Amino acid sequence: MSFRALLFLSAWMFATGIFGVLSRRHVVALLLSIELLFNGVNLALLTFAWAYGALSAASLAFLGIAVTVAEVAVGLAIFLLVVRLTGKAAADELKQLAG
Amino acid sequence: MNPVFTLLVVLVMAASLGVVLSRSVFRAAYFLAFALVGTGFLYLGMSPIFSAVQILLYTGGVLTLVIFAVMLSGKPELSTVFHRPAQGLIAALLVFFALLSLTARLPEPPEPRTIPVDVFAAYFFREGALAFEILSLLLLAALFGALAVARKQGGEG
Amino acid sequence: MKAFYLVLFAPFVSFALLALWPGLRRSGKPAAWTSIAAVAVSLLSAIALFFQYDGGVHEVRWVWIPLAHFPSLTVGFLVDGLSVVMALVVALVAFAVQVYSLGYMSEEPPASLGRYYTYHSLFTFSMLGLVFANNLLEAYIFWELVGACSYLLIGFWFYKPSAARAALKAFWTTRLGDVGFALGIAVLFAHFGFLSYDKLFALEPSHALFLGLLGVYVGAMGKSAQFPLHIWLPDAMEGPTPVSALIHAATMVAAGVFLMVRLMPALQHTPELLHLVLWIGAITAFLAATMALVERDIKRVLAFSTISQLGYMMAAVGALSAGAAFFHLFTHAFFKALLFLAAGSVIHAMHTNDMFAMGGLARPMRWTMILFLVGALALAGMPPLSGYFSKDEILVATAHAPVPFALLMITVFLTAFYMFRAFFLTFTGEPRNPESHPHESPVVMLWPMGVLAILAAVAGFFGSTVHEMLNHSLGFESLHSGEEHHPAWIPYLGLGLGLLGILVAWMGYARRIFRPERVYAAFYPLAKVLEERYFIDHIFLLLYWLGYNTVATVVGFVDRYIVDGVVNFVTWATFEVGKALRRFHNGVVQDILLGVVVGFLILAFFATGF
Repeated sequence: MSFRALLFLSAWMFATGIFGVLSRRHVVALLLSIELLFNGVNLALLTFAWAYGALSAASLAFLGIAVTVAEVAVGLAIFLLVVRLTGKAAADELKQLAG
Repeated sequence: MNPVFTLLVVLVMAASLGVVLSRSVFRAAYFLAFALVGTGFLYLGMSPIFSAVQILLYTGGVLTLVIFAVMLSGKPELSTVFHRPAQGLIAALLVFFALLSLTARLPEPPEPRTIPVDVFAAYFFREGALAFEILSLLLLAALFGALAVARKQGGEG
Repeated sequence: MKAFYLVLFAPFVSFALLALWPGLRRSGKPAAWTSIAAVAVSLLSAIALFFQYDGGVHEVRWVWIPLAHFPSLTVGFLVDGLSVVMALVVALVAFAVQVYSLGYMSEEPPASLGRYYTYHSLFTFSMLGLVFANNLLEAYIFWELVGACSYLLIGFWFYKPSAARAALKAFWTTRLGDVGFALGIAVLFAHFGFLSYDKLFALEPSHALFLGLLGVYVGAMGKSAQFPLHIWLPDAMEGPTPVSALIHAATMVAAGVFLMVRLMPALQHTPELLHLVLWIGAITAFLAATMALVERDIKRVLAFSTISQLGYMMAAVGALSAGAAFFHLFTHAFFKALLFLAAGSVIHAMHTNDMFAMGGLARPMRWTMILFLVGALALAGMPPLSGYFSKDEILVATAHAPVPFALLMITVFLTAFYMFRAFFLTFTGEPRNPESHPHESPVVMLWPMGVLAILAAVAGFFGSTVHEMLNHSLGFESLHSGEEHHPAWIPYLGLGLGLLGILVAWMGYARRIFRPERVYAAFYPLAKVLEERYFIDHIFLLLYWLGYNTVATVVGFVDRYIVDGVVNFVTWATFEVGKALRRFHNGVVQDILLGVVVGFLILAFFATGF
């Protein structure tokens, strides 16, 4: 167990998550990438809690997990609705937000 | 360095790459499960309760949801996987190095210690009680929100 | 001493009722009775307060604006001899006028009548608030409220262009004075950090005190129609006559004098300012009296006379004789309100203001004639009516300053002359307009006048009471009375000049022993100057054109091309930037997220410096 290695892994997961969020087209893949981002952050938080004894970081991680679950539930529901209404599953084809 | 630990870290890194690179969303979900479970094992050394939460609730719950959603939508993959991958790659690399340089400044920790569950619980339900209650409201809202959004129009769902 | 809450807030309750309940307001007569009932409560409480008054200075105060580096601003009310007597006068005249208005305004439509009484309630409340205020800022607030009510009531018949113009003129002219008042308050607050009377009265003489009180005096000049800010009062006669009686004779215009009397313990430290007050007061008294000599409009004669009498009061203030000033304010409130109401009765019957279209009204309007005569005799200073005593005190007080004293003495003669010119023109001789059919006014108009007439007749005997009450006022124990010497001949000279004035008027307008028209023709240029009111309005107009318009042109240029230019540039730039930026917003969620990532990178860059 190494503090630096865990932080490196956290940064790695976060960066791959960023790549996924920016570059994947499938909406569900975007959601999965967001999970990666969350997981990276959670890992970092718990590492801090473990290394420095910061209980507040652990609390944040705990809350973060629960929020993530809620986010996924709502996100997938939206995805299903979008597919039903438009028949599209690619994020870059949904342009209703264009200014 | 502990070889099991090193192996676990490398596997999780590879699984993360698999999530963003695999063509099928199904496969990406499996890779994510792998990465999450791997992280859960890493938590064992830090705080066993989080390990359990991670594996049982997070991995199980999230992945089940994802797979159901993909099956219901009937669109597991797209003809083109990426949208401007070079742009995303550059951004991800920049983020990666930014995070590394940020963490490099952290002071060396004194003596890493496993977090006892009772200490954490005492802290969390004292200091985070309000957040906990708000969170339960959020979960309830998410439950209703997901139902309301996903159900078929016309009231039959 | 709790009665004063009732005195002060009864009119406010009626105002709130009328203002917030349109049904009641538009109903006319019920609205009038609401207001009259409230002012009756106020009057009864004021009487009770007067008799309960124990000679002390009572004060209630609350913190209004807590400040860290100054003493906190407070509001509160002051019940002392001065405010008790003044409240009694205000409530009494307001009551008489409101009852009288029932008859005078009987031809108004109900909604309009309700509006009239709404304004009246607000005015009474504001005036009483000014009387009971315990600091300058609070006084200023009520001062402005009173001014606003005056504006509303002068312009009550707003569909008449002349009334609307007169309302604006009154408002602007008094505003001009109020700017001085506000500046004075600012100077006092900036320099001393407090505005409550008791602290101001404890101050040592200083330059800042002089400047501050000068500002307050300018405000009082505007409200009390002192030269050269007197120009609004004659025009204010466009309002209904009861309004003129209440606001422009007895209460609001006296507010300036009241404030000066109230501030007397501080004013005694600024002899230069008092000197100015004395001179302006005397000049005002004289000029206004001369202008009244050639006026044809019966109400305007009374307006000029009011200006003139206010000049007397201010002169007494300037002579450091607050007692004489306040005593004259006290008596003047009754006999001038009476005169206005009587004039209103005449106007009500004749439907004209022009005295040369009246004449011979003594027979059809016997009661009005008697009441008017009582008021005129009191104003002319005939013993034993009230004006004699108070005017006498002022003359005695100013005897040490030769020129102002001489001006005031001449004014005594002029006053008697123009009042009886008006009396004889209106009530004696043959009717000059045969088509009019004058009739006596209804009882509801007569008996308020009767009450005022009795007071106008006997108020002079309360001189010692008024003086004693005044000596119980806040800070007045520090005043030394300025009555060291008074030559014995002054009352006789004043009385003689008054009698002479009446005699000349009788010879010219009743007996026609000499022809006033010939005198007018002989002194035509002078008379013309008087009729044009010394061209003061024209001078103001010229100043307006030269000064105001020049400034306005410059300001207009700056506003149009520089301020608006900046504004237009900002809108143009915002629009263009928006047009450029909306291209980035293509609606693709990944590209939006890229912006988030770039933002994160910038923050990380600043956090680490790479």
